[in-house]
Amino acid sequence: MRRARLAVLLLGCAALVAGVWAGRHWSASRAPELRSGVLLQPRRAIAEFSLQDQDGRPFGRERLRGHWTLLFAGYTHCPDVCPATLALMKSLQRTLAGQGRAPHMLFLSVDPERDAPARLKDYVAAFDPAFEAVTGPAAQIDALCASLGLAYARVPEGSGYSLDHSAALTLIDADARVAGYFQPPFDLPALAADLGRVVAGS
Amino acid sequence: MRALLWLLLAPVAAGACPGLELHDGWVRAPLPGADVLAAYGELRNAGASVLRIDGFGADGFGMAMLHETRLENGMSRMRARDALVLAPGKSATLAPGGMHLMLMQPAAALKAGDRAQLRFACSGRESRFAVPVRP
Repeated sequence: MRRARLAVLLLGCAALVAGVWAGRHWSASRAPELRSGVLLQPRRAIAEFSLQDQDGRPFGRERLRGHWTLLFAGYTHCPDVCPATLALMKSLQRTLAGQGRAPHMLFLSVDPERDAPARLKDYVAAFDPAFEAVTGPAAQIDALCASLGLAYARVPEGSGYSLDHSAALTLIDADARVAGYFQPPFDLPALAADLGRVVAGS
Repeated sequence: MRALLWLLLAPVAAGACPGLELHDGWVRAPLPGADVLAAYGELRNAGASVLRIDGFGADGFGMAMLHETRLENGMSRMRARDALVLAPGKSATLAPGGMHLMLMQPAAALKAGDRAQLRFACSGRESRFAVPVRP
């Protein structure tokens, strides 16, 4: 089981590296240069997965269709990077909403053991009630992470644990395909300009 | 670790860390359900001797640790650091996405608008700084 998880993580890393490379390669040759991220060409389909949202309702691939999504993977016991990134997503949303180009903001918890849907609901609502959050069985989280090219790993710490997790924001298009990635350090104006442009171009 | 705890709890401190200053310190207001908070600010050694800060605390928290978030191969990794060494005139910035004071085991929930007392120990001395809690 542990070996399988590791394999998924490694696959995820490889996919991310390949994705970033492909994105760079493509953006260098054909795409308008993004200031803060990379686009995938072609976009990569996300495989079916089965998670729950912050209200405990099923959340699968269908829920990603029909609108753009910006996804961040983390966990609520993360005191530093996760609140900072979600606050950035809130600012992004505020900036882009005026242009009608704000993607759905989605928080994927890779810590289902501590992040029950009810906890996630309160957590994301503190940023914006429109933010959504998903989590579920580890195998399903791993499946989605593999599709997205994201990775995470549990790290023992004292009597508890923390989690290493991909720092990227993943952009998903209205056909539930990975469209690109944004890597920190995040610059809000550059990110907003890039996102607005990509979403407008669909 | 036990010795460190004793040191932090010692009723009579041997004075503040000479020359240690904290500028623009703040604690991120806790999110719903959060029992781990992060504190930030710029630690500066305005004194004449090297400071080795190896004890961290905050009033109302059972435990505090110096942590550093590092970005490695696209992964965000959080790791504890034992100490922070500041030469005279030098400073270290604790900021989101980098070093931060991780505050654990809160006795009571802080909220935006409160003030928190951060503690930094060096060679048996301890400096305290009151900082705002904000989103």
